[in-house]
Amino acid sequence: MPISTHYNQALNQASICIEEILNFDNVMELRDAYWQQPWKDADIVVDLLGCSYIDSAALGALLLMKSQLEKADGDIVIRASEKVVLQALAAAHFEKKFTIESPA
Amino acid sequence: MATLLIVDDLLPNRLLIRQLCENIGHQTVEAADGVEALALVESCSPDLVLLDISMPNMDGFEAAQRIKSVAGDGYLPIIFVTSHSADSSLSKAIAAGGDDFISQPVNLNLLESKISAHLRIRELNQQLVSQNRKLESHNRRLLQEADLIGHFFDKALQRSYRNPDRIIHHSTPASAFNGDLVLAERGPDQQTYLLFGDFTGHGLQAAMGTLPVQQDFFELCQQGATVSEVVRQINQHLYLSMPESMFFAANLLVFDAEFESMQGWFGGMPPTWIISDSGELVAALESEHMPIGILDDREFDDDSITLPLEAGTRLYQFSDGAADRKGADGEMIGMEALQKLLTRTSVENRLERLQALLNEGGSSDRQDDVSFVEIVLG
Repeated sequence: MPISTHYNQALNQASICIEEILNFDNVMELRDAYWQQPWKDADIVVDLLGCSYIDSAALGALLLMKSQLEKADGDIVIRASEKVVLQALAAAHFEKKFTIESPA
Repeated sequence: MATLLIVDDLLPNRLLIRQLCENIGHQTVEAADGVEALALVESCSPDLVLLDISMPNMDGFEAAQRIKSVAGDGYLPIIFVTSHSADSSLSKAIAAGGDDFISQPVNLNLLESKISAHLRIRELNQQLVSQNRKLESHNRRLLQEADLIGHFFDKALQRSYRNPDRIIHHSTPASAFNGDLVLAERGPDQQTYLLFGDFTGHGLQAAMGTLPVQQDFFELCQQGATVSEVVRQINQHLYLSMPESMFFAANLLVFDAEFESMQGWFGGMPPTWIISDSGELVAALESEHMPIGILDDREFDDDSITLPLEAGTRLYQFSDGAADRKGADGEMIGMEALQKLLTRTSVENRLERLQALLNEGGSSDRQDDVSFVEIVLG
């Protein structure tokens, strides 16, 4: 549930790290994490490596984030390793809008 | 300034306490025994009671209990005034139904502090009771509204075509409103359309999306539209009307009159299984597309697949609430367990076993709307 953000100025990369679960009950925290941040045109990485479950509300929130940050298809990287999370992303064919990375 | 009720059989005691109370700045009323005290509680509604324990007839403990029951759910503090050291115990006072005690000779400062503290608690309690009343009335209004709104959804769902020999479905919403949708309609060539889907989230906001979808679905099916035409139109409608964080994961299937072939569009739902009556997994149809409502008309892909169907097989679909449902062990059931149940259970018993498995976790912790469909093929 805890969401943390890290900004790497050298790479101009911001990562949003979500632990445990991203679902209907805590999607507002995701929005708070990226809203009105001073990362101008930074590359965004959504780190779900520590996340064990996401639901459709979470997928919706990711789509909203992409739109609000005005990112093109594939710009935002989503990292995940948990099977159910990868399955949720695959079923919704999120690879069409995001770059999905999972450790080998 | 509060009204304090002083209860003591001895006049000098009453006068002394009255004097002390008036010095602190409160009004007083007096009673010489428990019976008078009860009468004054009813007529004057005091804010606090100073009660002598050792009185003839009704003793202080019994009086305390009677006073508390007359006061009801409002907090009326009772401070025992004790002269015997044996009675000078807070635990005894509380066990007897009081809230505090003070022993004679009464120390003015101590009395003042105790009265202040208990009056403050009384005030907090009154705020709580008042807030609760407001919440209850608010809640009642919301329930009435939900009832009226529910009417719209019920009316719309009644239009759905029923064919109990072919199509069996169960849908258990997480709350009063169902974000899962199961709709069927016949086309002009006796084909059967089946739309099975799941809006993001659950509750009223999820269910809202079902209304425009239903209108489009019934209209297009009655016109004999193709699978592609139906999903494209629904997509455009939802794309334009829903917020960006909402979408509609769905499968649209169209069966010919004999259920010997089908066309399907699969967007974002868990896999659809075709299982033979003997328990073999004949086909697993995965999601091919992004859910409905995400892509604009230009990007939307309406490609469907065509599949011949055989007698002696059945088709199963689940909303993700089913696989995510927690079982008796507190763990999510998962699609594998659902598939195992279907392939290992004889045809007649499958639905019953399925219902049992989905109800294992109890109804109190329902996280999402749960729906499934079984279609008899061929």
